[in-house]
Amino acid sequence: MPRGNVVRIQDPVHGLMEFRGLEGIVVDVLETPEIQRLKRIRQLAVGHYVFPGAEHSRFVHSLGAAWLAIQFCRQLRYATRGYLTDVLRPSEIAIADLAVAALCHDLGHGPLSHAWERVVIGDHFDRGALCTTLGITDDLRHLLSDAPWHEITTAGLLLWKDGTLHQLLEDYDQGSSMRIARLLRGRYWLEYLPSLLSREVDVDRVDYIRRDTHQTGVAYGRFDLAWLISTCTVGEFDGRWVTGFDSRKAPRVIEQFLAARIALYDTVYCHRTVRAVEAMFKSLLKRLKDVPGAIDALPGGGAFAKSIRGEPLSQTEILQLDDYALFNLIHQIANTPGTDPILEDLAKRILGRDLFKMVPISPKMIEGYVWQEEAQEAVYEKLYRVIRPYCPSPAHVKYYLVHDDYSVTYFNEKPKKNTEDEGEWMRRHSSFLIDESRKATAFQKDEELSARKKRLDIKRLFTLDSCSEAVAKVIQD
Amino acid sequence: MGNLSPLSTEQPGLTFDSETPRWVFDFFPIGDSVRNLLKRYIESGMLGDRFGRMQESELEALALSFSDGKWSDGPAATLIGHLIETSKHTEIDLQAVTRWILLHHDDPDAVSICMAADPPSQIDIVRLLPRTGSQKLVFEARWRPAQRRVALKRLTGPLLDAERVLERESHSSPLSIRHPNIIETYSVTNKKNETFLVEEWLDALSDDWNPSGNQEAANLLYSLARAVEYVHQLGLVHGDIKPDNIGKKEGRFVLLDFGICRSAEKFAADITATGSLRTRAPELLMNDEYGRNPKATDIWAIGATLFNSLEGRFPFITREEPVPRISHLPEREEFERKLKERVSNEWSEWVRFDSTVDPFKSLISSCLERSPDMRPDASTLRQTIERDLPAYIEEGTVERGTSLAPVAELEQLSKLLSLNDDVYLIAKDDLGRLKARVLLLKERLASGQDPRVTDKLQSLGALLDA
Repeated sequence: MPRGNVVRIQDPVHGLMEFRGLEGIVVDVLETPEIQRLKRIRQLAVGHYVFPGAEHSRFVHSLGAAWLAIQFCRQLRYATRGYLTDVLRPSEIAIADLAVAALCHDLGHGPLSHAWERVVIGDHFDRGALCTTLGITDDLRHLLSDAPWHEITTAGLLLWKDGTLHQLLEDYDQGSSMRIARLLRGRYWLEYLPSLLSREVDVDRVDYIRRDTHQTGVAYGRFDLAWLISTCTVGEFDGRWVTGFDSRKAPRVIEQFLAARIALYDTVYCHRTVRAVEAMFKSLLKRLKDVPGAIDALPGGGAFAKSIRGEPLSQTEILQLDDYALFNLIHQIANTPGTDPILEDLAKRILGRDLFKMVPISPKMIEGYVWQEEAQEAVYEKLYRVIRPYCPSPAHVKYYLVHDDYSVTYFNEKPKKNTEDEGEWMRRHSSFLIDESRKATAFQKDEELSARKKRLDIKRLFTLDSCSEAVAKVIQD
Repeated sequence: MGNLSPLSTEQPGLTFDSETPRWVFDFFPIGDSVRNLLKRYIESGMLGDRFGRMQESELEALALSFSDGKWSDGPAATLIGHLIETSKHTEIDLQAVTRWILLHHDDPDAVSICMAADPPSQIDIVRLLPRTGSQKLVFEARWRPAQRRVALKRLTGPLLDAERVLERESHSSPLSIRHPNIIETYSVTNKKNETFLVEEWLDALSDDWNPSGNQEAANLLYSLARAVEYVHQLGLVHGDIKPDNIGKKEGRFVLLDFGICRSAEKFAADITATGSLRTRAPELLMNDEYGRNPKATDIWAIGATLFNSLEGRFPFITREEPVPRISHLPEREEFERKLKERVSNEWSEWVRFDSTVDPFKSLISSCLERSPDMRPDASTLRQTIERDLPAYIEEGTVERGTSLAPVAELEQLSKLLSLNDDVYLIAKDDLGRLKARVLLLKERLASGQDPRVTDKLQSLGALLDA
């Protein structure tokens, strides 16, 4: 049962966080093993290789997001007085639901978070098999048809009948685990609430931008959070209610926010050394995929091996995956005699911070050279020739040249293959500015905001430090 | 509004056209005329001190204000003449005069009234308002410390009358503090210790104002009934309810202008009818006196105001008919005679509802009963509105000023819940609140509703039960 009194938690970013009344459910959920696992997954994966302070976990970020969800909801409750009938304004239960959803939004992340999914899981994993293994029923399955891996596993953990989290939520209110799972997929009976969880401006982004800025020590990610919250309100878009921001007061802070996010991508998330470490993990995990059975025998390697083989994991197995277990595995690989030499080399380099280096050449040149589709093999072969002499095993040179292709946009963009109606897509994926008459305009359709439309494109090559200059020279020549 | 005193002597640069009769300039266009005229006066030393010290830029701005304000010759010449006369014995704020010229197109009277207003310190006159009546002047003004827009009233007429008006008007001060449908009024004095009244600035309705729908019409009616009920309970009669004495604040309607307000006994003793002809009760039009039941004239005025907003005209006046001002006495008397004729012989032609339907029709026609005694008192009117129009009354009109009318609530609930697949997952407590609200709406929407409302209620109930 939820706690009745006020629970106070000190947070380095938001200061004193108070959870009152029904919001106490957040603190109960915090104590479940499913959420506790997030303490062992770093928010910035390998960011601490470059920013020593970036040791914070997905646990503390999720807690921050939950607290922000409460702040935004309280603001919405205030901003909708006189506009929405009282029963359609966020109730105490709705506020608690959104807070729990925010707390659980990263529940299913694997070790190294997104890097794990990019390298090990990939885009084309068998969603149906995963849903079946996790026991996800049809009323949720159709909402997960295009979901990334961690969102399916999140749903699986919420609906796991043997799980502490599921049992706690069901004790609190029968059916609430499904309600939270659907809320995380954008569905809730108060249709304007889910957007606070996943938009251009949402509680996840608001927390991670503030927290990552604080923990890394960079100065780019600052924006006026109190002002942003105070402008949040509800308006109408295509005859439906949506959450958005007061168009008279919010544009400056939203610009600040969007710029802060792009700046963090530019300077922290996509820092060349951070991406170099990720590139090494990518090579290591790729090698694990290519050498089936390499880690089966290692203690704790079972769940990793299964996942690397592309087999769906059960909830119990998901709970075994975290950064600690991965680093422990890397330790074992580095120190167990007879391990595959490529794995051993990469593991030792990762542990000893003997990192790949970025090939010192402009993104444009890299694009022109490496991304020539017709001649790609020949192009790579030229580069491999330079790298081979420095590899522990010249036959496996491909693990020592990694290309990094990444882009971030100011606004969510509708994927080309998505056939959904433009307006409906926008309602489900955009943040809005809301004018005096409560009319909502999507950020990307607002003249002023869209004028700042920007895309951050990253194209890099990483290789061994000792040959990065030589690789650059080949490309230049 | 009083006419300006004519120029005392013949003025160079201006000619009096006795046929029109009006002053006209000798030069054209108007800006040049003003400039040339004033220059000539300055050079000849015939102007008062203020004009003598006039800067070139001030002269230019003043001259241009006539052409920018699109003044025609006659009124402009009249005003210039007045300025010249006034400058001989009074300090003139030329910058303020320039602004007033820009804001009062072709109205020299209004500019001269603004010049003579002598407002309390910290208050600047912006313009004279059409709400100005025979007993007081009403200005839009700016309260300097907070740069806030206010309505400033100056009482006119003989001192004793003015004091009486002030006494009546300040009734609204204690009233306003306690009633959300009555304007707040404060009294302030100028250097000469003359009293002014200051009110929060609210945009008033106009004769052309129409409610956006039943909900707004119901809330206008309800707000007026609540305000008048309160005034009547204090033994007072407002005496001048009309669209331009109704303001709108945060979605609620507020009764303004208590200049005629006084006790019912004093109204009964008065022999002359006051207040606008548009909303004047038939007994006042016919007998020019308030009789035994002056409170009923307020009820008529509420009815006439609502009648106009729904039918597009006042009860005895066509939409196009201009109502002559009291300053144009012959036309005014002729118009009053015409109204008497309509009341006496053509009642059914004029008090006729062409586009208003029940329950508004029956409520408004009860206010427009010919016999004052047949009209409901304000309490009964308020109760009848609560009984017949519960669906449209915003709960918070008095209490909180925020809640929605039941029909609006029903619309929102139907819209949100019918489009939503996740209703079946609502938490028990939230579902309980929703069901309780729908039940309450059922009760409030029970009488006299159209079938669409009933259908919506039924499907909503079924959805929540399922």
